[in-house]
Amino acid sequence: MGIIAEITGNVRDIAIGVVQAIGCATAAIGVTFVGTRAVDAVGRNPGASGKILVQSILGMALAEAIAFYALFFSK
Amino acid sequence: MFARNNFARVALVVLAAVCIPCIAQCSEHGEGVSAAATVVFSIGQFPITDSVIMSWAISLLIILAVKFSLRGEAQIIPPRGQAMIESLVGGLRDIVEPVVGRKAFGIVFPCLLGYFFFILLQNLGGLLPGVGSIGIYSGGEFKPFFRPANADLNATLALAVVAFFAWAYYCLRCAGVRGMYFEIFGNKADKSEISSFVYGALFFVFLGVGLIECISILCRIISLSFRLFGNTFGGENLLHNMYGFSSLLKNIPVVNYLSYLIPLPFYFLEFLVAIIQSFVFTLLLSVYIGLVCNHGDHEKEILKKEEYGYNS
Amino acid sequence: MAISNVLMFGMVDFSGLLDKFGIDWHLLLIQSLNFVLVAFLLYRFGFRSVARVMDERREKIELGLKYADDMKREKAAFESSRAQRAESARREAEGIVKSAKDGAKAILEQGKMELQQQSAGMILNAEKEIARRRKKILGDAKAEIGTLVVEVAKSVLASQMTDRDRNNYAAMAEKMLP
Repeated sequence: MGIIAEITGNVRDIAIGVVQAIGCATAAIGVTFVGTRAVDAVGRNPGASGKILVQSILGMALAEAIAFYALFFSK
Repeated sequence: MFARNNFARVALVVLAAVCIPCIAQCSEHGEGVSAAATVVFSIGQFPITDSVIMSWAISLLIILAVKFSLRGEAQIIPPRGQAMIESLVGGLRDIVEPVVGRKAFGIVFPCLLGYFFFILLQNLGGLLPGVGSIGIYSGGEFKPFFRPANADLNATLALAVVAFFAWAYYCLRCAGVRGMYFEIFGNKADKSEISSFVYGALFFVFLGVGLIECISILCRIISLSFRLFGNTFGGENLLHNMYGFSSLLKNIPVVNYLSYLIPLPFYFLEFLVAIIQSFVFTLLLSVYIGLVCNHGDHEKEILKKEEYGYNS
Repeated sequence: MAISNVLMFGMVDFSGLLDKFGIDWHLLLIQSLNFVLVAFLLYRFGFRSVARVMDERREKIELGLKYADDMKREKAAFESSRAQRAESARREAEGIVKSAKDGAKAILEQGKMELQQQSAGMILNAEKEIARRRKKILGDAKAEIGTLVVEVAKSVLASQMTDRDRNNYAAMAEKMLP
């Protein structure tokens, strides 16, 4: 992969590195939101933990996909 | 207790401080896994890559494992192997059934089970020792014999394409052509609430929405395949880099005994990722099917919720 | 989600990607056939029978629970009916004993009464008999004494007395006798 190595090149490489970094960071923030809310919801209503688990995993998966778009499609 | 905890914390921080530059160095030295699978040999026109070999090997293992854990036909009083499979099947059923809907569940479930077990065991198989490290050097390049099947985009894309066709088949079977058309292009406005002119105009709006929806549906193939590929491939890279990092330590006299422990925590992480990703793939596929097929159960679902007191 | 996907579709150079990740339709075909085959075999020889057995077992458990429930209910009903029957039998027995006691008492009373009546009747009869016999004896004695007086007086006064005198004397004698 060599994500860090790419920052040492020309402007285009730097731009790619920045895109990947921002994409991963936003995906991380999205996953964090989902996780926080899921924990809150389970804390309020432990009986519904199964349904919340499903929903939160879906949300995390969708947010996480952004990171892969940024990583793979930015070249 | 506290002292030990503090020690662990300090050790982790030191490890991270040493690790991060070293990972960078490892990747600079090209220790990472190549993005494309390497061709080991070819049968006629068909190139057989390390990923395909792994895929076949694990498939064989899955079939043998299921066969031996069931010992022929399943029994009413389950033996140990059957009980394990049953608990997995039952757990998946409980999660998937409300998502897909009662109507479609019967015909969809075998496919979902296949996806879950296949991806799960392929992912877990990628963690076996020897995967990615057994191979030959030819032409100055290392050619591994095994690579986690899902760390090759061909495999995940194949899974996603099959999933797409399965989705189309199940939706046509459950909702019919008319139902699917309505789901994608249909005018969802209520005729009694607005004038007929606006209703007619909304037809074009929903047609445009349907076109976007179509592209979105096609994008599901890419998003499904890249999610699985990215996770497995990233994990494989992580493990390799950690291994390369630990090999850097081998020259230092005392620390070299520790070097074998360095990839270990990441194996736990990858174990978790393997389970979650197989679950995510299955769940997303069932959500896609449920979006089209699951309409009738809504009222029942709400009733059930009230019955169980979810809102209390 | 949909919009971002569409945007992504427009912006990405796919042919470069395909080369980079080594996409080959041969490999796609191999992998998809492999998956379909494995999924089919798993279902055909594994999960189908497992799912069937799970359903069967659930049915059996449901039946068993229902049976146990029925049995419990039946047992409860039986218990309550037995208790009822025992209670009613006890009451019946009490009634029988009481009525028997009453009957015995009544019979005793009746016997007493009859005995009393009988004895009273006997006493009465005896008194009557006594009175009758006394009267008869008295009558007889009166008649005999009268006749005796008349006979004596006749034999004394045989010649001087008329028939009228005789009758007067007889009447007098009778009056004087108690």
